[in-house]
Amino acid sequence: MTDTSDDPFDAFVRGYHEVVLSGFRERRDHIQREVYENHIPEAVGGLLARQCTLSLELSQAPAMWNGHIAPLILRSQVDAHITISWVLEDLAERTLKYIHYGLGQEKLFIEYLEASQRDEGADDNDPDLEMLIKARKSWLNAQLADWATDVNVGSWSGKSVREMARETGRESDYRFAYVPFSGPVHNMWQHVGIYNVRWCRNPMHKFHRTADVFEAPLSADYMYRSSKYLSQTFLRFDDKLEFDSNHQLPIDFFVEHGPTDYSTDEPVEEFSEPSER
Amino acid sequence: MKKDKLLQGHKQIGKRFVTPMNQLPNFRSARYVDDMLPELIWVALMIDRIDYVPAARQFESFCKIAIDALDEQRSGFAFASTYGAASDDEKSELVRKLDAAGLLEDVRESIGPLNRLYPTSPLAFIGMAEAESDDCLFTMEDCVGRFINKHETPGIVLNGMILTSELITETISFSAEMDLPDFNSVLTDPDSDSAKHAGGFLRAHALSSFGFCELDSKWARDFWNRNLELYKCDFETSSHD
Repeated sequence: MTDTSDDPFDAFVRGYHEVVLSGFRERRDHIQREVYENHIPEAVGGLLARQCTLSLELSQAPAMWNGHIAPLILRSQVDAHITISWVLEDLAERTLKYIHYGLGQEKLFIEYLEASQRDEGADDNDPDLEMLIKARKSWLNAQLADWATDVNVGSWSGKSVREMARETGRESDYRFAYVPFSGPVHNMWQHVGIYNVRWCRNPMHKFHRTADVFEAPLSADYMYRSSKYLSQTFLRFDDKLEFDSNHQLPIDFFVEHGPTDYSTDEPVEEFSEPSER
Repeated sequence: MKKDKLLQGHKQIGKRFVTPMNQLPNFRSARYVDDMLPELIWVALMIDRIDYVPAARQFESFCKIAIDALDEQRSGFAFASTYGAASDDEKSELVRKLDAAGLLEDVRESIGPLNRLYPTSPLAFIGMAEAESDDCLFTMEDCVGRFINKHETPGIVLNGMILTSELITETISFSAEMDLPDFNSVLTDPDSDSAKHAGGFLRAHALSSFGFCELDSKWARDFWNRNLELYKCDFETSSHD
């Protein structure tokens, strides 16, 4: 962040970046450096960095602090938290499982690309597609030869997300964050039926809904949650890898410095439904 | 402390948890607003115009005449589509008998807005009293708004009219030993436990009677879709449009 404006929101974003990045770096450096069994620092560090990235991106985009978009980020954060928590319970085996699953998915995607290339005919190969396949194969083979890469079309961990959350003692994260945020991620009716329709109050229309595109109220609470999930991940890391941090947690920084005036009063229509039929 | 089990009474079938009601064989759910209200709206119009007790009397008289005029029909006298499905001769006979009993003009006065605004009204054959179209629009809107909630007194009374029709036409009877709710409490003491008990009884009975009749949904569909033509939407929020 190079912005030095005096705008309070800009100051918050700058401060949040500093807190998140310093928290990330000290933890990344705490993971034992290892280039023989390099999957442990790569997977754990990578997941931690992903969690930080999601929260940082949300922090600098207050226009997304609404029910349309923020849940997409938050669901991914809860997912990352559950994944990291589960991986931390058995670093050696689970980091490898995590990486091998990803490599298998990449191999499958390359297969799709090659099949599409074959369908187009050998004579008029798309050079961009050719280059894409080459680059992706190179990334894959640099880690594990594609002939040695299994493709797993099930769950990467062999368990459902709920089971992973339960095994790490955080089934509540699954019930109260992962499940509700999954609605917007998968565009299901429990979300679409609120955020993509308007409820007509005319009883002559039996309170029907009309599909529409409209703005959802902004709320800083989404950013608060983002800082909370990231902080939970930091704390889980600290607990499992016996680390004492010298830096403030993102949630504490948000509570002290976060915007409080990004909450609009208008509730979305979920709170004004007609009576039961 | 023992934890409450979630979804109690539900039965797991594969990955679905089926509600106790949906586990009943041959159970067919009925929807009050979507399907029942259009069928009962003509009775609601009677109540709206002359109030509960006089309307109940008018409705009773209507049912007594109807069961006499409609040879083949033995149930569903509270539902508009029952009359729409009658033969032309039966319809003419019903109108003639209503007229002879001095009821026709009163009924026309009540259900006139329905017949004026809804070209496919099953009760169109009864005709209508003279009224301005704007008045009819207001009357219908007011009536639907009043009766749309089945948990409030007007909605409960409307549900109760189904039982009333069955008692009058003797398609239902209760054993003297049966402990029936105090139906009058719905009007005399609507917030009482007794009224809630009676309301629940009447709604449950109405749902099962309606399901039993297996009426065609054409009129309900026509009614609601016609409302889209007659009335404007009333949205709370503004869109990007």
